[in-house]
Amino acid sequence: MTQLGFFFDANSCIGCKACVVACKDVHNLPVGYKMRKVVTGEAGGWRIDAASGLPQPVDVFSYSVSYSCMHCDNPACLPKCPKQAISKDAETGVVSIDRGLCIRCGACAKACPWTAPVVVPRIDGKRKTWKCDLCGDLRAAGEEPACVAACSMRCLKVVDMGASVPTEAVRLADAHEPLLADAPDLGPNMVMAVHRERVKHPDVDVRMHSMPEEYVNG
Amino acid sequence: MSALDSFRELVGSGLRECPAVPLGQSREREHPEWKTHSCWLSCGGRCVNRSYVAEGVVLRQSPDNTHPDSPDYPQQRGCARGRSLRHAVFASDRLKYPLKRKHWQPGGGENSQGHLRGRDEWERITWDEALDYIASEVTRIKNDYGMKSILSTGYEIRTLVDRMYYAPSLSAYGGCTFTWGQASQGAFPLVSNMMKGSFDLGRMDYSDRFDLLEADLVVMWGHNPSWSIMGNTSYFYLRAKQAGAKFIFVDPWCNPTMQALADEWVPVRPGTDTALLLAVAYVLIRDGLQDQDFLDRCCVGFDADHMPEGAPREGNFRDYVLGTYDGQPKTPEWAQPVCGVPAARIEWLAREMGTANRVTLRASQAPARTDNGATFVQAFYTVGWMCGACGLPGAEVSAGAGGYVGFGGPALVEPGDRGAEWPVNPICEPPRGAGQLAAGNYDPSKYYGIAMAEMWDAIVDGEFTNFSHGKEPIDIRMLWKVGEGGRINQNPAFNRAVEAFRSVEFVVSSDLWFTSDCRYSDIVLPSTSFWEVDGFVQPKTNRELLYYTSKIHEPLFECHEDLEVEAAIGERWGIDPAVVNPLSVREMGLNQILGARVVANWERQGEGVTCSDSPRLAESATGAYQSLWNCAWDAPALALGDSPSASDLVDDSSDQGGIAASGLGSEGFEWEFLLDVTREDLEGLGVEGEVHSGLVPLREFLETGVYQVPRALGDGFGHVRYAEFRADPDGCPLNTESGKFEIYCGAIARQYERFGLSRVAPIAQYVPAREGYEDTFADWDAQVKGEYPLQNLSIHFIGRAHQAFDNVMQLREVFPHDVLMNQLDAQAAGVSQGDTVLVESPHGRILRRVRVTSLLIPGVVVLGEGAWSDVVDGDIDRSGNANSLERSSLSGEGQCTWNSSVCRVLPWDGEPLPPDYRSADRRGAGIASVMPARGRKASEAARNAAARLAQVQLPVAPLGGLPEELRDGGAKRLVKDDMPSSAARGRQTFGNAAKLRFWPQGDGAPDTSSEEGGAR
Repeated sequence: MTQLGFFFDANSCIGCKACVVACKDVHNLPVGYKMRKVVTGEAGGWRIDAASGLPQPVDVFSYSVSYSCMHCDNPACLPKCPKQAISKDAETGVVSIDRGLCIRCGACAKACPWTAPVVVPRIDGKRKTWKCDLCGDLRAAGEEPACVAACSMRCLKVVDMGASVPTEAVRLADAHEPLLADAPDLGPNMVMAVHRERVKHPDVDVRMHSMPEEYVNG
Repeated sequence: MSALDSFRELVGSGLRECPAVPLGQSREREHPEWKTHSCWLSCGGRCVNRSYVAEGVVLRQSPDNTHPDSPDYPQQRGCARGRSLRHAVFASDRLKYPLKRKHWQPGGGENSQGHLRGRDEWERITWDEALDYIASEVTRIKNDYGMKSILSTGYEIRTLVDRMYYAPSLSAYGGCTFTWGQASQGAFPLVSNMMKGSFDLGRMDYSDRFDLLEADLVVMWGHNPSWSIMGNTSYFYLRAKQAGAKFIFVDPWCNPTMQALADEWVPVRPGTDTALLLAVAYVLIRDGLQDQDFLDRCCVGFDADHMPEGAPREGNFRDYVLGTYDGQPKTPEWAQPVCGVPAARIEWLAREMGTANRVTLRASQAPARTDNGATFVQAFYTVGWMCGACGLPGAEVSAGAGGYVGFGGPALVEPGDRGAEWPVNPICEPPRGAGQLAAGNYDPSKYYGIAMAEMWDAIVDGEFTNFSHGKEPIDIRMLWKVGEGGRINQNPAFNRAVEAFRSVEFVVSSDLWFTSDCRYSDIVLPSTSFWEVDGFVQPKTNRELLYYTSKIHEPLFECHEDLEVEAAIGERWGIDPAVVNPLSVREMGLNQILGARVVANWERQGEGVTCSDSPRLAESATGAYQSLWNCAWDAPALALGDSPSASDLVDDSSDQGGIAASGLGSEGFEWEFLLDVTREDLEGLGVEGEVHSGLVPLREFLETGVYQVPRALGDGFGHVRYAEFRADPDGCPLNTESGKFEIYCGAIARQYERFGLSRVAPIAQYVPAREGYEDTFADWDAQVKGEYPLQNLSIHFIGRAHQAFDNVMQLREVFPHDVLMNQLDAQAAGVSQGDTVLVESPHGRILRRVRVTSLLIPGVVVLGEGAWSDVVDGDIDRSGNANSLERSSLSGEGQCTWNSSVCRVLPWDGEPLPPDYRSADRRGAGIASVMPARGRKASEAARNAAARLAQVQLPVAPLGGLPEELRDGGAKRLVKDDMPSSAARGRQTFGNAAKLRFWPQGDGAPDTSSEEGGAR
């Protein structure tokens, strides 16, 4: 099996959210609902510089992380579905919801640490739970997922987790990314290149700069 | 039910119900197809967007997929805003039919009920009624007061189609008053033209993107392209970083672009950059780090031995910095308390800039959008030249609106001429003097209109500043905004603007949505978007690209093209429609693509650009840009005293079409026609034209909608401005008085004297700005803060293109419009993260949620511009329009001084603001009630009702989104009962347009020949 997953390079991301809006566009997600999210963190503070008496930044920086579904090895959502509507593709490892079976109970959304499944009010006349399936229809047509195709800094890619992971990247489970939930047991299949400022300042506290509506649905 | 009907059913309840198309399927839609268009809302990124259209509805979009993506040949990927275009175009608050403010009546005087503007109710009227009102009011005002009393406010660009700025119908009918000054460009144009002989928004000053790769150090001064100019701009900077460039950002804000690029951040206070630059110059001089050879050969005024003729020796820049004559050396210690950068950090910055091999010094125009903006421009170029940042790959000092999406150079593909000319305003110079004021060609005998920076004062007070003539009376009776984008929302001093709007007799606006201008108008006209017109070419903002935006769908509802509307108005004055609207959008677009040319025979291209500073090159290189703007942005600065008439340099867009498509252009390129055009093509289009061979078949280009020149490193199309000048300054003189870069520039000082607005020294000097950092203190010497202790920085906001897109809810969701504040200031103000706060300036008050952050120098708050004002509860703007905090002011070359603004932040003890994407209050609908047309003449009862209402303090009309009648189901009723159904309209969609244009007054049936729908 080829396990597909997203590769994200935090070093190039400017937080433009072209990926977020591309996903909303192709899936027609209503206002308030996002399957892909971009969160921005900030670090550092200000102290008075002794020589000048002026406040000066200490380790101040920001960076963004774009994430959607991790297409986990052991998805939290899959076993929670009362209708067995969620499956993991044997060839690609992509985790998706069969909308024909879904009853929109929301159990999967509650289970996922990264809130990948999204319970939308109504799309296309139907009330369903949606989640990232790596844009299966686009991939079938030989195209990249909408988010990847939209990325203005070319820092979001789909990779084969086994074969083609860029060497400077780490798996999410090893990244200890403060902006994202930490659930390594699920085997999240996302790799990221950690932002250089975090590499320089590994111990500095990162705070969420984004406001709730940027990463919470509803 | 057809797709269009189902869409209409859905439109009333909001776009969240927009019909969905499962990926890969078209599901019962007829003839779905992909169409290409570039973004046409107020942004220079101009990226490729593609829309999947079925039955006139855009179901989803796509970024550029017209070719594979690579760094050398990148796709033109757009941003979240462009990706949300369908939400904007099909917005539920899209203007659908003409509206009349309920209590306004024509005739002036009491009839106007001007005090109710912005808080009145609305009636739906017919196009006939609307145009009759407009035509008769203009005639009345013309007869009673003269056309000068009509102010055309055309401004921030909604469409970027030229001439919509210029009110052609009014010009044909006798003219009107326009505005002058600078908005986004700050104090750059005039100062830049005088110091170095040109200013073209960076299009030629920026090196080509491949030459940028040679930079060792890139200093980004107040520059945040990832919000301000999306598209590939930040990506190209990233390539330079990957090629080894170090990036230093000088900015009050640790801005998002820094995430991808920054190695170092130098926080600086707004409006104090000049002090910082002078201190950097001091260190360079002290340590001998300046490029003395470059200064000696290519500049005048740096030191006493290289002064321009007639200038006093002691006026030189070096001695000013060293304090030789004024006793104050401009040391880092001197600058530190003003700019907020510690002396040690200034030393470090100077050494970085002075010792790097190839320095690219780039500024946005933001630091010059200040009261003392000229001094920044002077200091910025001066320090750049001291670093030798000029004329070599990777070495440049440049500023502008991002150049061509982050890089510059002569266009490699250009549209042909539109082939149309419009009436010239006989009583007023074109807006901004068509670039002549910036070029130093101010003519005191001419009327340039009112400065945008003081326009509201001028309307209310009845007097305006006519340059050095001083104050003169002006009697504005009417405001006209047909065609171009926002003014009341985007000009400084919103509260004063409301006074101005309420003081005149008649206000008419056209727009796509119920923007602030519409809200304070009397007649509102629904415009078509650029998806609803037959193919057009936008002004170029990228040297490598040419776009052709296809028609995406038919005009919605009763929307009409602004130029057709103007023609119909003009017809009521007896003016031939062909005078006002000489060519249709389709005809102009076809002229442009049929005449488009592209660089050819690349193998034979030699060194590329020669003598890159020649005015002839500048003219031809930016020729397409010029002809489309009809503003001589890069007009050669003439000697003082020469003042050609404006018509010599403007209005003649046929200049640039004169270059033969094949043969040597003056740039040294060879050209060929872009499109291969056959007889069959022309017949298929139904037009006459020239058959010629070209690079791309016409049919293919119309389908793809974009041509992008393939590029590669070393392809011969690099561009480094001033390369020849640097090598041979005497052989390639600049368009300056001395022929060189003027660090001492007497011309600036003299130009400012001629303008009579403020003074400036011939060299860069630090001058505190009014409402700058110093004005945050009650007692500067004792360093005691005053009533407004914070500086307010107005930034370009990623969720909007100026005011465009503010009503798109999904953009509000992902880009919340908060005020940013440093945690030290938040603590002092007693506010916490997420609180609703009141931000007050001496000129207005706004409410916003606060985001407390470390990403900001203490003492500064950051607020995105473009939010549509929503003034309730007195004068508090709940939407947080940055202009509600700004003031009218006039200085320099008339730049708007957005970044010279002081404020304070207070806790708000009222109801907290809901998140914007949930706030129906901010929706632009603002339509409190809509009634069926009842005819033009107000009844006696209505007048009495208005009189009674006038005695009552009216609450501001609540912007509760759509009124009851238009909410779920309501739109259905209105659509079906009051408008022809889509089925009935069908091919007669243009019926109204035909009627407007060709139905003679008083005659019988309209001419519904499908002239509009067919041939066009």
